[in-house]
This record gives sequence, structure tokens and C-alpha cells, in this order.
Amino acid sequence: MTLLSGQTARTAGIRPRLDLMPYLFILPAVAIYVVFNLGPVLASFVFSFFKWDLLSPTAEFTGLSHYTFILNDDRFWNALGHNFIFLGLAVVIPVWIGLLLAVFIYEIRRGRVFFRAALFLPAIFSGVVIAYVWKWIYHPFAGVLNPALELVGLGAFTQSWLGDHKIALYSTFIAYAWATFGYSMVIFLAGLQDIPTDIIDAARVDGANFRQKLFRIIIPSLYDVFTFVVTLRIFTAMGIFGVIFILTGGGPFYSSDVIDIYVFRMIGNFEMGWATAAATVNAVIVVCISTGFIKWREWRSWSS
Amino acid sequence: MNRSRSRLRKPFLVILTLLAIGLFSLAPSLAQETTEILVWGMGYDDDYDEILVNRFNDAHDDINIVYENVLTGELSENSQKVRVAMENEAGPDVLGGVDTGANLQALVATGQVRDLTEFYRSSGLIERIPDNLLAQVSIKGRIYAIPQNMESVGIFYNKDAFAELGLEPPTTFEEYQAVLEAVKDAGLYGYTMGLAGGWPSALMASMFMYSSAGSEYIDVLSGTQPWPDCEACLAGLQAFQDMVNMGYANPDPLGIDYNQSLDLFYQGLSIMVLNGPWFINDAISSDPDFEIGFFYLPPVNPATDIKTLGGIGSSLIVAEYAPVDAAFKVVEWMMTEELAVQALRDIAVLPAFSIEVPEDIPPLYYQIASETAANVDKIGFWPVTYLPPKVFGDMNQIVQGMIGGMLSPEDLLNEMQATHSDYLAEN
Repeated sequence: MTLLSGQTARTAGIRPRLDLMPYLFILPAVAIYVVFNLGPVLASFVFSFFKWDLLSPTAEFTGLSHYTFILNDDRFWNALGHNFIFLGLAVVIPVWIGLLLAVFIYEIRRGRVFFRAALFLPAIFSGVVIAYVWKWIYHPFAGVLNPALELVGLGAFTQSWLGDHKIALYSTFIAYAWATFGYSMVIFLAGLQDIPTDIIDAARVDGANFRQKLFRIIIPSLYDVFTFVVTLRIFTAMGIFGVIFILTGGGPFYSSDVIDIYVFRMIGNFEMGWATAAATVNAVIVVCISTGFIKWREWRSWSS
Repeated sequence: MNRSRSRLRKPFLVILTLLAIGLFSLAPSLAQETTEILVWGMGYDDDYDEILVNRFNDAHDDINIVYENVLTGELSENSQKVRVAMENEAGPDVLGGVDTGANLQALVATGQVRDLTEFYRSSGLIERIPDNLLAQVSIKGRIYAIPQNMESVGIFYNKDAFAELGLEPPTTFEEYQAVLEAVKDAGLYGYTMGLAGGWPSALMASMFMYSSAGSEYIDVLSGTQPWPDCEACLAGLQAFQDMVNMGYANPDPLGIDYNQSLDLFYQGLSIMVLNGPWFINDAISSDPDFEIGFFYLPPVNPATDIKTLGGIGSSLIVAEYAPVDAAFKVVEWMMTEELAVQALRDIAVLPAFSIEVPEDIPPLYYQIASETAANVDKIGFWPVTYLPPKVFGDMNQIVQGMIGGMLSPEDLLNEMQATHSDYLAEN
């Protein structure tokens, strides 16, 4: 009654009750996040300042020496450079293949379900399976790629796909692209469903060709989806490990080495300080690139 | 009369029952005390280790082996686990599968590895283990480990293809090159090489360097001699590189891994493979259409001070904190000839001492076991056990660089010097 007459709960002497229920609901998720995500990340950051072999009960504080070591290590920069090459390719090739296939599936009238399932199939395999499949595709004696190239008159392109240091990294990228374009495709396909059909129909009636529809309607309409897919590719390209590890182990002679394999090698040698320092530097780079990219996309969106 | 007897019988039965219960409850304390010995890895494979443990426990009332299979994962990982556990007296009483070289030195440095010099004398082991192997388990004149089995590395070859081409196992490196040339002329690959994925690269290059430089190479690995100063190592590397440059090996060795390279051998495309006894079971189970033979890789440099490639496969150590008598009993049992013959028969493991090789084992086991037994006093070191794991990992990549034409043998030695000295400076 008094509250209705304009008094607040505080002035009326009523203490607001703290409703704990919402916090209790999110507590399991927060606990899992802290224990399995935030905790290890923070622990990893702390370990990077200590010389510790993972098992000894004592660790020696070494300050920034691990960072100095890895930043002066040519192999760290070599690996990081390969990550950037991978990143440059990953944000273009699987993304565009995924987009074009999504548009293709969206446009066709028959076999949509079949193509969607068939093209998405590689994305559901684990990286390990994909790597082993490609290992046999590239096999110099029993593989199918070189004979297939010869069969179609492209014998000049037969290669030592994994043994040649000039192309080993790109060979691993092909396996990665094959595994990831289906995922991009499905996300784009979901985005395409949200484009009002009357816009596309109107363009069709107005006589717009495929290229005009793609660049004037579809791609601008998928702006946020693009941002999401590319951000995802940034994460996976900078954290690429399994495919390369199985296909080349980072070789020959570090020619396909990437940061996560560099880190893995350090962990295998129980050099936790170096490993965590390298992982921290990589994490900072990934955060900077992905945040920068998202901010740039937001700025472009607002400015246009 | 009968009634009074039955009256007496009841209390008598009660007393008897109580006595029996009392005796049963006392039984454990009257029985012989059992000492538990914690064992981590007996040096064989996990399944076979468990068979041995059960056999021991069935035959002994006074000692009970508790077997923990904690040694899973990479070799370097296991070495580290054991080192830390022993440092904290939380490790095993008896440990098998110990490498010589850097690994044994690191374990002894914990101060928890028992000096076995006196045990060697009292048990008579000193007469059974040849001096060349004893030297590998000794540090500053004291013996810390017992060589348990041996890995004799050599060339496994396709006997049928050799016969077809009229070839004989070579005894010198020149003869070996002549064999490779003949195999190449016949359109086959002589030397099987699968270097993608790491470890075979460093291992093979090491074998050639060791076969050329002998103990000088061990000085290089130990960090007491710079890599670029080892001219004999360079000659070994050049001989290794020739396997590819002269077309003796399969093409694209960097494009296939170890297992894929073995397929070339089993399919009869390549007719020789440098390998160790761990290959025997795989070769037999693969059941190729040809008979497999074995010969030692002839030394690149005949003047070298080593005779055969390979070394101690694994050795046993006893912890300082272990119940000593019981631990020694376990170790003595593991070193019996009977058990060695059984391991050879069951899983093709060669003992690190001379045994009478049984004739009823598969011919390939028999040949390798006989040759190893005959050469047990000439067996060399496992060179790669002298390198820290990180440097060994780098060496795999660096050797790939040489085989892929990115580095010359001289560059390889310089790269190894850089990576090895960086590591030593940091540690």
C-alpha cells in the first residue's frame, strides 16, 4: 500500500532479498569453467616464470628468462611464421569453399540433403582420422593422389607431398581445409536460411545474375556469419596441431613446424617453463588477432 | 555311564573349538613373514612382465612382487617419472627397462640407486656379464645396474631375393655397397628408409656415425667433444647420406614413416632394413612370402673400436630404500638362464649374457640369438641414450634436413653443436 504511494522498499524499511537461485543455477557451469579453463590458463601463465619439470615438488623462479629464451629462439619464430601462413590460408580457402558450397546447396532443388550430408561428413571426423586418411592419400608408393594426377594428365604435378620441405606445410593445409570447409558450409547455410527469400526472389525477377546475387545480396547479408566463421578459423589455424603432428611431425627439418608442435616438443622434454612461455605468447597473439578482427568488423559495420 | 560321558563330551568339544579358533587366529603371525617388493616394469613388455610376476609370486612364499604398470608413454617421460619418484623415495624397489647413458646417470644422481658392486661379486654376476657391458652400467668405478637384455642392431634381409640375385651377406662396408649397387641394378631398393615422424632419423644417422667414429662419437654425445671436430662422424654421415644420394634407399624417405617403410620390405620392394630385435616379432607376424636373414651392418670405418651395433636394451636397478635381501632375490631370479631362455622363446628378447640358445625356436630368433650370444663381449653402446631427449628430438629434424638436401653433413654437425650447447648452457 505504502509502496504504491511512492515509497521505495528502502524508505519503507523493507530489506531487498538477495535471490541466490540464479547464481546457484550457473554455479556448476562457472565451476567447470574455472577448474578446466581459467585455472589451467592461469596456472600455465604462472608456470612460465618457473623452471619446473612438471613432477618435481620444487620449482625455481626464473623471471622472464623463458620468454627471453623463446623470443631469441629461431625455431619459435619459424613455427610462428608457419602459423601465420596457415592463418592466411585458413581465413580464405576453407571459408570461401564453405560459402560457395553453401550457396550451391541453397540454390539446388534436388539432392540438397544428400549434398549437405556428404559435404559436411569430413567435418565430423576427428583430426587424427583425417590425418591418417591424408597420410595414405599422400603416400609416395601406395597413395592415390600422385596416380590420380598422372591419370588426368597432370603428371608434372606429382610430388613428394610430405617429404619435400618446400610444400610439406601446404600439404598439411590441404588436409586441414578438407576437414574444415564443411563446418564453414553448414554455418553459412544456416545464415542463408535467415536471408528473406523475397529479397533474393526480387533480385531474380530484376534479372540479377549469380555473381550479382552473391556479391550484392548474399555476402552483405552474411556479414556477421562471416565474422564468426573467420574468427573460428583464426582460433583453429593458430592452434593447429593434430593434423600436422601426424602428417609430418613438424618436419622435414621444421618446415611444417607450428607453435603447438613446438610447445608439445617442449612438454615432451619436461621443459614446462619454455613450453608455457611459448603457449602464453601464442595465446596473446591469438587474442590480439581475433579481438582486432572482431573490432574491425564492428567498426566497419557501424561506419557503413 | 553313557549319559555322564556325553555330559563331558560337550565341554570338551567347546574347548577344542576354542583352541582351533585360537590356533587359526595365531596362524598368520606364526607363518613366515612376506616381504613386498614394488616393481615398475621388468624390462620386457607389459603383458610379459605380468606373466613373470605371477610366476615369481607362485614360486615364492616369502616375497611378494607388487607390480605397477606406471611406465606408459614416451621413454623420456618415463625416465623423468622414475627420477622424480625415486628422489622422493616414492618409486619402485626394483626397476627394469632402465637405459644406460644419460638416463642411468640421472637416476644415480638422485642418490637413491643402490651400488651393486658387492652384489655382483657375491652373486657371481661379475663373471657372467662381459666387461664391455659392465662398463656401460658403471659410474666412477662402481656398478649401479644389471644389463638384462641386449639389442643387437643389424640388417634384416630378404634371403630369397639375395639368393635370386646371387648375393651373400657382406662382411665389409665396401661389400655392403657392392650389394646395394647390385640390388639397385635389379630395380629394387636396397636400404629401407622411413624418416617421417622422427626417431628413425636420429637413430640411423647415429648408427652410421657410431659405426665410423666408435667411442669418439660417445664423447661427442656426452658433450666432451664438439660435434664439428669429429671427422669420423662426418665420414659416417656421408655414408648415410649416400644411401639416398646413390639411389640405394627407397625414394622419398622423408615422405613415409617407419611403419610405412617396413611395408616396402614386407612387399619385397626393398630387400634390406636396418633394425633391432624388436622387429623380429613384427616380421614374423607379418608373415612375408620370403625368408628373413640377419647380418651385422659392416663398420663404415673398419679401424673403429666397435664391432657390432646395438647395446644394452634394458637394465635393472635396485633402490637404496628397498628391502635389500628381498630385492636382491628378485633380481637374482630375473637374471637366471632359465628365465632368459624363456624370454627368448616367448618374446624374442636376447639376454645380455651368453646362454645356450635352444634350437627349437623360430629360425630368425635362433640366428640372431646365436650371433648375439657369440658376440656378447663385442656389443657396443646405444649411442642415442647419451643424448638428452630434447637434443635427440632436434637431431631427428636436423637429420631430416640433411636427407632432404637442406643441410650438408657439415651443416648437420654445426646445427647439432648449436642445439646441444644451447641445451647444456640452459641446464
